[in-house]
Amino acid sequence: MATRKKVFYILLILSPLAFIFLSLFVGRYPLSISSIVNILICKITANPCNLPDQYNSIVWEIRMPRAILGALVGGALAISGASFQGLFRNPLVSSGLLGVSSGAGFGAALAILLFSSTSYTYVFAFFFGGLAVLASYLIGRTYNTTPAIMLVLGGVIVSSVFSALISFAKYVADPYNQLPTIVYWLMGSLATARYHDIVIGGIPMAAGISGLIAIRWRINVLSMGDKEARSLGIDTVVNKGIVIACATLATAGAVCVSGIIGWVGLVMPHIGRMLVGNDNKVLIPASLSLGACFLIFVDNLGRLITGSEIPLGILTALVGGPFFVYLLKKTKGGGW
Amino acid sequence: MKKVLALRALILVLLLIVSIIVAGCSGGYQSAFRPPVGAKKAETITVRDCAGRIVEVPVKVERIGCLYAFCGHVVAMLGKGENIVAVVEGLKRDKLLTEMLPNIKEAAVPSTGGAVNLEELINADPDVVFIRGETARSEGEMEKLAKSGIPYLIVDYKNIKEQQYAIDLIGQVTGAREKAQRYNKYYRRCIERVQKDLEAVPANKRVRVYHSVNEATRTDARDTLPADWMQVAGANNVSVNQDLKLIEDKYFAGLEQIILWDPAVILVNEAGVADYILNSRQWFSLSAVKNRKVYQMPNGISRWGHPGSLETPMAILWTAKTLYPDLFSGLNMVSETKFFYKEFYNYDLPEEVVLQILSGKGMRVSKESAR
Repeated sequence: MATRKKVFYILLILSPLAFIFLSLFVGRYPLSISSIVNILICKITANPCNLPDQYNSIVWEIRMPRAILGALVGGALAISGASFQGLFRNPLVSSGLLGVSSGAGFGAALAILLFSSTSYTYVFAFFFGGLAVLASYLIGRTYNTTPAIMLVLGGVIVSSVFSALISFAKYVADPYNQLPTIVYWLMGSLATARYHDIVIGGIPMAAGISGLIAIRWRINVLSMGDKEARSLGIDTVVNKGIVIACATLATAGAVCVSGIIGWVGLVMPHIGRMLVGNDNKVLIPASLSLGACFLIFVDNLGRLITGSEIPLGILTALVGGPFFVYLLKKTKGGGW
Repeated sequence: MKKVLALRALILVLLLIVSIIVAGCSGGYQSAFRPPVGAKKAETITVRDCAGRIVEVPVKVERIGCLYAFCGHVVAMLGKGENIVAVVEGLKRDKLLTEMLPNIKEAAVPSTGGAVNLEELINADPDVVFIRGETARSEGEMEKLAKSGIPYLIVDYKNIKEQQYAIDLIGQVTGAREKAQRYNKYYRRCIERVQKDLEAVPANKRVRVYHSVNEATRTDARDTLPADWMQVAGANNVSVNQDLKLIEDKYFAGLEQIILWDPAVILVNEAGVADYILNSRQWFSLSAVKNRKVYQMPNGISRWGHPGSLETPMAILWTAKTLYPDLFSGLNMVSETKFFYKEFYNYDLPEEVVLQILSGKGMRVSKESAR
C-alpha cells in the first residue's frame, strides 16, 4: 500500500515535468528533435553548442518559460478551485465562478489607474479577489434552501459586477498610457512569458499553493460542516480564512501573469475526483498536477491548431462549458 | 393595504417629477429637434466619401463633428480646427491639439467605443459628421445616423492612395480643399523623391524590416496603410502576408515567428520598446538586436507611420533615410521636419524640439518643457 502511494505521488510530480519537456518540441519555428535534444544536453553539461543562437533562445528563453508559467498558472487555478469546492461543499464553484478572477483583474486595473505603474497590481489583485469571494459568499447565504446554486448565483453576480468595473476602468483610463497597460495586463497570455514573470507571479502562486497543500487535511474537516469541524476542535473561521486567503493568492498571481482564464479551476478538480476520489488530502495535490498538465496541453494545442495562436480562454471555455452542464445534470444543483 | 397603495402612489408621483426635471435639463437650450430634412438646406454640394457613398453636404460648413481622431488631426491641419464641435475622447486628451485649439476641450463627446450617442450628437448640432470605417460597418449605427438627418461621411483607408483621398474629402467638405491638395502634393512629392533613389535597389536587396506598433509584438498585416508606406519607403516588411494573431482590431506576431523572420532592422514607434527589445533575452538572438539595428521612430503630433497618423509622408522620408543612409545622404530630416510643421501646421519649431521629435520623445512632452 505504501509503495502504491509513493508511486502515485511520484507520478503527480513527474507528469507536469513530462508535459513541460514535451512542449519544448512544439512551436512555429521548425526545430528538429535532434537539435532540441542537443541544446538541452549542451545546457546541462555546460558545454558551448555549435548550433545557432536562435535555437538556444527559442528553447530556453521562449518555450521553457512559457511551459513553466503555464504549469504554474494551471496548477494554481486548479488547486484553488479544488479548495473552494471542498470549503464550500459545492461542486459547482471555482475561482472563476466565485468572481475571484474578475475581482483580481479589476484590482490590477485599478492599481494601474491609481498609480500609473504596475508595482501595486499584485496587492490590489489579491485584495479585490478576496473581496469578491466574500461578496459571493454573503450573497449565497441570503437564501438557504438551495445553497449550492445560490453560491454560484452570488458568484455570477459578483463576477459580472467586477467585469463591468473592469470595462469602466478601461473607459476612464488615459488612452495613451494607462489603457494599453490595462489591456495588456488583462489580456495577458503565456506567449510572451519571461523568467522575470515566473519569479514575480510565481511568488504569490507558490505561496498560495504551498499553503493549500499544507492545510489540505483541514479542508477535509471543514467540508464536513461547521458543527462537525468545531466538535473536532478546529476553529472554522480562522481555517476558512486561511484557505480562502491561500486560494485567492494563488488565483491573483495567475490572473496577474496570464489574464483571466476560465474553467480550469472548475473542471480539473472534478477530473481529479474521478481519478482519486473525494479525499482532499489526495485530491488537492492531484488537482495541482492535473491543472498544470492541462494548461500546458491546451496552450500547445492552441499553438498547433492554427498558425496564429488561438487564445487560451477560448479553448478552456470550449471544454469547460459543456462539462459544467454535465455537472449540473449530475448533481441536480445540490451539494454532495 | 391602504398604506401600501399610498406608498405606491407617492413613488409614482416622485418618479414622474424626477423624469420631468431630468427631461427638462437634458433638453438644454438647443432644440433637440432639427427642422425637417431639406428645410435648412440652402446650398449644397455633393461629395463621394471613402465608402463610395454620394453625400450632400452644405457649402458652408461651420460646425464639424470628428468622431475619428484622424479626422480631428486633418481638420486641424486644414486650419478649420475652430469649427470642431464634437470629438472622440482621444482628441480631448491630445495635449498638443487642445493647446492649439482650446475649443476642443469644450466640444461634445457623442461617441464611446464606436457607438454613437445620437441625442448628444444632435445637441452638438454639427453641419457634418466624420465617422470611422469601423462605425460604418455596424448597420444599427448607420441607421441611427441616417435618422439624425445630419450628413455623415465615412473616413476609411487601407493604403496611401485612400489616405490621400480621405484628406482630400475632408478638404472638400470643410471648404479647405486647396490646403488639402497642397498637403497631398507634398505627400506625393515625398514618395516620388524616395522612389527615384530606391530604383537603384533591386527587390531582393531591400532591407527586411519588422515594424513594432505600440507594443513589441504588435505589427502590420497586409492591406493596411503601414504595409503600403513601408513598401514605398523601401522596406521589405516581414509580417505582411503572414499569419498573425488578431485581437480586437490589432495584429500580433508570435516571438517564434519573429525569430523565424529574423529581420535585419526593427522599427519601433513607442518610446521604451526599443530599449526593451535591445535588453530582452528573448529577442537577443535576432540579427537586428545583435547589430544594434533597432530604431525608435519619430513622434510628432502623432506617432509617425502609425496606422492612424497623418504624418505618413514624414515617416516615409525618415524610414528611407534610416534604412539606406548612403542613398539619402542629401536628405536633411531636421530641416524637412521644420518645414513640414511650419508649412502645414503653422508651427515654428525650435531646433531642440525638432530633435526631440526625431528622437521619438515627441512634441507632446517637449511642448510643455519648451516653454
